[in-house]
Amino acid sequence: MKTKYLYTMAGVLFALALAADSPGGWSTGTKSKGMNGWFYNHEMHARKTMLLQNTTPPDPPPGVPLDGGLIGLIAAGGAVGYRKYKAKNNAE
Amino acid sequence: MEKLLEIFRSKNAMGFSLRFAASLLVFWVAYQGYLHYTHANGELDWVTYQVSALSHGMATFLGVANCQFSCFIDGCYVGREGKMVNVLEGCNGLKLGIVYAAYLIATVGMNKRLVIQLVIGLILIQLFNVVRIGILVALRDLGGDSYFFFIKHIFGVSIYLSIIVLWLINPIIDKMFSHATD
Repeated sequence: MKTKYLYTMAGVLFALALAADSPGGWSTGTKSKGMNGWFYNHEMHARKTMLLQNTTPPDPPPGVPLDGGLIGLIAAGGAVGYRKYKAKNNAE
Repeated sequence: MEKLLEIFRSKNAMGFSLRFAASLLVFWVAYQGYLHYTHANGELDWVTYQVSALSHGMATFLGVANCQFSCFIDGCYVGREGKMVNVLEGCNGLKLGIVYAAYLIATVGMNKRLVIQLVIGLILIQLFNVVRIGILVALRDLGGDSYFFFIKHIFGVSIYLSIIVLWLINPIIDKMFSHATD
């Protein structure tokens, strides 16, 4: 009788080990490996996604840049100086 | 090479353009080198840190309650929790200072008057920048669209125009300094 129980237990454990190592979740129809899909349903997936969204760090605050028109300023500087020297040379 | 140096020294438009470009290049390379050095050491550059610290003081002075200030390697966060602004390297106004200084070197030349003008001009630019960031922190704290309007239109235009005005009135300032030093 005892050996019968032992064989049954060994069979169940072997089946569980096979199921755990199986490449696809044949029991739930999910694509997760082995027994992972057994305890993972859509509701849990939604909850986990929500948790991830809540724990994602917030975007950094907006910047206050000042160098956006730098090329324009360089061009203006060149134009002001060029005009100044040209007027000076024409006067001489 | 000698001809290039002659053009460089000449008091004409070509000489000015060459001096302006050369000064810009020298300052730019020096500044980028300094930035590279501070980042390699895992630090934030000194100018951005000081501008952020002073802006924090300005925002507190303007009445922003619980105004906080924290710095990271890429910049500082200034303002009340949840309504902060990010003061990055591009916000420190030093690049504008470089263009301002390059123009002065190209026109005034290296002398004592230039140093005084440079110091006053750079202090004015940084003062304007600190007031600008302080007001922006206060506007963001108040909420509404005024923050975006001021950052996009008012401050950018006014600081660029003020630099051009400083350039245009440079001969008058130069004359004043030459009378004072004589």
